[in-house]
Amino acid sequence: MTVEILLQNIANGITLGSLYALLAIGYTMVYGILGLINFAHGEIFMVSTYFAFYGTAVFALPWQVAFVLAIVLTALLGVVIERAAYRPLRDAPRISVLISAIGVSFLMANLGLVIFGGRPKTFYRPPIFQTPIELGGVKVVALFFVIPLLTAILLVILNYIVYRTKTGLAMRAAQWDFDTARLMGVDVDRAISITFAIGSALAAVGGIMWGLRFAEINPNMGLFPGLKCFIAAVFGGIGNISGAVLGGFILGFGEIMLVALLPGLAGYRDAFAFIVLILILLVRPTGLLGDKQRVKI
Amino acid sequence: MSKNTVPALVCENVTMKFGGLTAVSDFNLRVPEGALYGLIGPNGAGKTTVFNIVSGVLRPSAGAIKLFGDDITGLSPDRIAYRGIARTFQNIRLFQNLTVLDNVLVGLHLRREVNLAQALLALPQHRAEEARMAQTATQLLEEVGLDDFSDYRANALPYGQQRRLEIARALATKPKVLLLDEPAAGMNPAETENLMRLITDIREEFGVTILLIEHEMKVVMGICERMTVLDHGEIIAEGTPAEIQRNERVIKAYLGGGAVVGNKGS
Repeated sequence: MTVEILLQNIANGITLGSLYALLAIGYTMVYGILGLINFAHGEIFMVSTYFAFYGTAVFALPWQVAFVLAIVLTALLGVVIERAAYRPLRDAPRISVLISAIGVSFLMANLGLVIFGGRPKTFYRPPIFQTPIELGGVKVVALFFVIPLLTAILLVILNYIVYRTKTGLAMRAAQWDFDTARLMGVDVDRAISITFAIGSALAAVGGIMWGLRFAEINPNMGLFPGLKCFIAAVFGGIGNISGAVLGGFILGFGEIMLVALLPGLAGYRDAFAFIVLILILLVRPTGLLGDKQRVKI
Repeated sequence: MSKNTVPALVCENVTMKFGGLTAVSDFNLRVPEGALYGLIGPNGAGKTTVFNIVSGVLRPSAGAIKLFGDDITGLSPDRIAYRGIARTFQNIRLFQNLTVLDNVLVGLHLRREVNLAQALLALPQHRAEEARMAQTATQLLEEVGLDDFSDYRANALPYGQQRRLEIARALATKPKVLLLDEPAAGMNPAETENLMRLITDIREEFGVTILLIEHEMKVVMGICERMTVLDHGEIIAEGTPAEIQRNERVIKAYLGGGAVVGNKGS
């Protein structure tokens, strides 16, 4: 393999890793506060790309406006899903909420098929992201810098919200113990809504960048990235935000490198994540950065 | 009616049924403003159930809870906390994943005014409030003698200090009524002495009305002005410590029937 191709692959790996990280954060934050795997997260990601698609292609909005609008709408969608499908089950056994999440996931994927149509759509790609940039003799388009950079900025902001604001403190308190947080005056429902809004907004940023990167969107596109990022979150230690980011990067990078270094195994690309899942569950079920299992008494 | 005559906390004919089991039956309580009031009774008498009802964890099957005359029955726990009732727990329920300081800040959170957008923009109001909150939190920790441990994770504190932290966290919500659920449980005699002093100090300094559940008779009899005795969900006595100590039904409930005979002779 030439140096150019290796560098190109590294760029691919970092980019995919960033996208996985953004999506994995949503899983881990929701799990952290509700103890729920939000299986609809992949579909939220999918719908965000259609929001952006309709904004640019159908309503002919400037892309900046369309993308921001798509992020806001997706955040709202996340909040609405929580209100409609999870909040009524707040006191129900966890398995009921999980089933509800799977139901929402199926509903959205199929509703997407009905509303958006099964044929893939071409995502609008503003030329600015395709500007070639030369680095060390390798030409890559600007998007390969934009994605990791934007991801890094978002992580800094997320970190600030979670660890430096009262909203973040409320989220962390609720994460430990709902009832006590309520008794200390924390509006737990609000903290949960904000968690869904943040997770969904990050998924939307991931979705839009996914569209910019791969150009094509379809109603089933949420499934595999969704599953892989769920695995990334488990791999990193579910409930732990840094873990989700780490897991996302390792998974994205590993997937690209597997294909690059062992082209013969390229067909197993999607299997890679699942093998990682099995291994981590066998070796270290709490994930790379996961806390020790805690038991609420 | 002037404010002074309105009791801080009133329970009116409160009944709590769990399926066929009546945990609390026709419970009445009047805690005057500024009082240090005891709620005692043998295990399983329904004391903690009363706390859970007052703080909004449970909605009573019947009856009403009034805070300074306002009906707060059935409000959510965070609304009740906002109205001015804070509590501690029989089994310590700190946010073990947070630092000692953050635990207190969660309590202060309730009275904060800066919203997420302002915080994100790092507006001066946010910074000023941050500083003010940290200062208030530190003062509260000083009050309970934990200011040297503010960066520790809550679960690193010894048991007695965790109980003190719970009190500081509850005080951070600026309560009008403070519910303490067995604050002396698991404490050694020296810690208990300190705790009694802390509780009376808190009442003076924060002007808060305190309702106390306690098994340790020394504590209740030592610091409470009045108390209500519960047994099997029903009130069996109400009065000053001296009255309660002489009450035959109370002695019977605590020690069983045989003890009453000896008491009659005195």
